[in-house]
Amino acid sequence: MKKYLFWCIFFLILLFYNSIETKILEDIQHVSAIGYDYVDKHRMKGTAAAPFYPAGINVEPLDAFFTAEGHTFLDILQKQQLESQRKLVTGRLQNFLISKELAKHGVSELTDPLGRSTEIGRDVYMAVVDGSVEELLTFKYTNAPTSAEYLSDFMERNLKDIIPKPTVHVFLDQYNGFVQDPFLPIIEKKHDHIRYKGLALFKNDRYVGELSDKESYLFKLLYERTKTGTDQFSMKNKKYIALQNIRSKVKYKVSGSQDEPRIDVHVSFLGEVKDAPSISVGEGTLKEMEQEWSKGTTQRAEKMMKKFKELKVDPLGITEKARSHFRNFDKKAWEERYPTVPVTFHMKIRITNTGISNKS
Amino acid sequence: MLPLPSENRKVSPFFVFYLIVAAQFGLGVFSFQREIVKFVGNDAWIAVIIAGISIHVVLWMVYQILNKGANDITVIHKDLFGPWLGGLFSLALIVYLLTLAVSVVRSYIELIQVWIFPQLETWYMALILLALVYVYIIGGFRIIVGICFLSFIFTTPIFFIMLGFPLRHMQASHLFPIFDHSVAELLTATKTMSYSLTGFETIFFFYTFIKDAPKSQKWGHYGTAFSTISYLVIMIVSLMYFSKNQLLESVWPTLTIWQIADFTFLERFEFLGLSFWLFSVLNSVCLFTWAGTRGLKQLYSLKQKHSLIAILVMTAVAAVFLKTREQIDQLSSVMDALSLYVMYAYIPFIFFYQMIKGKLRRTS
Repeated sequence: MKKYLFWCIFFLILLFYNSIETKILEDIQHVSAIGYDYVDKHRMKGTAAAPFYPAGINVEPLDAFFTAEGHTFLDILQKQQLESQRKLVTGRLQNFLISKELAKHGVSELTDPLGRSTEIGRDVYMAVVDGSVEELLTFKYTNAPTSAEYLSDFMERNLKDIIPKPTVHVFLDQYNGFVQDPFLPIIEKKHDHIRYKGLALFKNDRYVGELSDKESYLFKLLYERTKTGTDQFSMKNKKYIALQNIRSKVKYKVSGSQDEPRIDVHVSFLGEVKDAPSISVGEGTLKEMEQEWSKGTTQRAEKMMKKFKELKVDPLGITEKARSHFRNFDKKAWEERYPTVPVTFHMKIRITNTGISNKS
Repeated sequence: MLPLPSENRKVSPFFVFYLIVAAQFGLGVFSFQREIVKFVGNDAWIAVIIAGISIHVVLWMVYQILNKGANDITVIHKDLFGPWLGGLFSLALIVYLLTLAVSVVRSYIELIQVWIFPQLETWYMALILLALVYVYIIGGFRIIVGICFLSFIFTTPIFFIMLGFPLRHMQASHLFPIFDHSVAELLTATKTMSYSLTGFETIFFFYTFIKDAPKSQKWGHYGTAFSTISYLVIMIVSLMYFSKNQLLESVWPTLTIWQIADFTFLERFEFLGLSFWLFSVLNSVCLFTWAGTRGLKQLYSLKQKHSLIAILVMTAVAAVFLKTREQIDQLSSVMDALSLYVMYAYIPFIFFYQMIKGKLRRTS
């Protein structure tokens, strides 16, 4: 009897316990993109894109935006909540935008909840917006049902071929990391499209400079192994040639002592000629093309490295390579030495074929 | 002293593998990295290997003790130290295992509160968990072996499949330079690591329930090797996936790694994984509590059902009283220190004491 009584009470408790706040799909509104503009030293303006799906079959989602000013991520979310028809949740957040102006003033306060909250995933894509975030998010683009959808497609499917993947995990890792400075893509609204503009370079949590879209492709070659993209270069006679990247590898070699380190960067590039108007492509010219490409790319890489050294940023993670090479790594000394460390680029290229045409 | 269990209550030797894995491979895999990385940074994986090897040695000692005594630890204690002191030793071991159970229960509830349901109240979750534990333990030892086996089937594949997702973001350079830390630092880290591998002491109590028990030793070693390798793999993955500072900042690095996973049908995997880990928690709590009640039965002829109810109520009360993260951490660090003494002082002590006593008996 006592046993039955216990189990009865047990099941009653199970059934009638309701202190947990439920989030039912029909009763919430998913924020799919969120962006922040700079207002003044302590405040920023947040814009949340939370497309609304009306009831019914085959209905188009309605664009919905909520804008509010505040001090922190949650503060702004709470104010945005005051306007929305349903509870805003960030569980399916896909894009996180920061205006360039805000990035110049530091983003650490904004990115803290990304690392702390369990309600935001780590594969959220991040970007810096040149211009107003609000304008970019709320514009009605003609090529996608909602702006949030355009943005997330753009970031996830397109941008991954152009630059290293800019997810929250990567950003936090580089920002918190001992040894590397973060970078994020810059996007802008141009006419009625979103356009990739270049790569924003960060020192700690502050924007300090940027690379153009052409430079950022070179940056990807120097940063990780790639399988995508085309690279254009000019021959001596001012004829332009476009190379399709089949695959490229990059290797960093650290040598010397900690007081006098040397870095050698070896890039090997396997390419295919895709576009060579009015140039006879033969045995001799291929060699010439390879040489021209190596020379040109080395120069561009050196120029880029010079820029990094001037800005004292290390987005390539050279410090990390040095740390993993030297025992008892002294970070402070390295930071001072970084602008003077000689970095040499060795570009090796092999052009495998010239497409399906052999014009000579 | 009770009669040895009859044949139909025993299990085959190879089940020792699942029992050992159940005791060692639990909540530890979520959070063990931080404490170790704090001391040795990128050399943390070496500490895991050293700890694994040392546990093998301790496990070997445990089997030597049990094979010589041919009974469970309470009887061996009594033989070696007499009823009073022996009983005291047994009681201490029992209390240690039961406290481990409390620590596991509370840590799991905290995990759910932080990750999934912030409003969830401790007593409610403890009630559900411990009711389940009651149902399993009352079914007897063979049921517990069953849940250990099931849990192995459910949790370990998830664990290894999930290692595939961070691959894209891993950097081999994080592991270098190898041996950048002193031996003293490595040993401190090894000490912390051993805590994750504790729990195999339950073998002191279920030894008599294994058919042909001395033959089960190799399965015990396989089990320990399996847990060590799991810990080693996740440690290496975390080291390569996170930068050192971020690893130090993450409270549950393994779950943070799971956050990167993205299935088409499931945006956030860690919630599912965390729920699956209920099995893993259940089997270690069952095992510890069963060992405790079994010991009490041997010592005081208490009916296992009665002592079980009392212990579960006490566990629930203790879990409710641990309110903040600091308190939970404090319990963990106390258990951390205690487990060190149990594994590296107490077990070798019994081992050598038994050896010397055996030799004296033979000569006299």
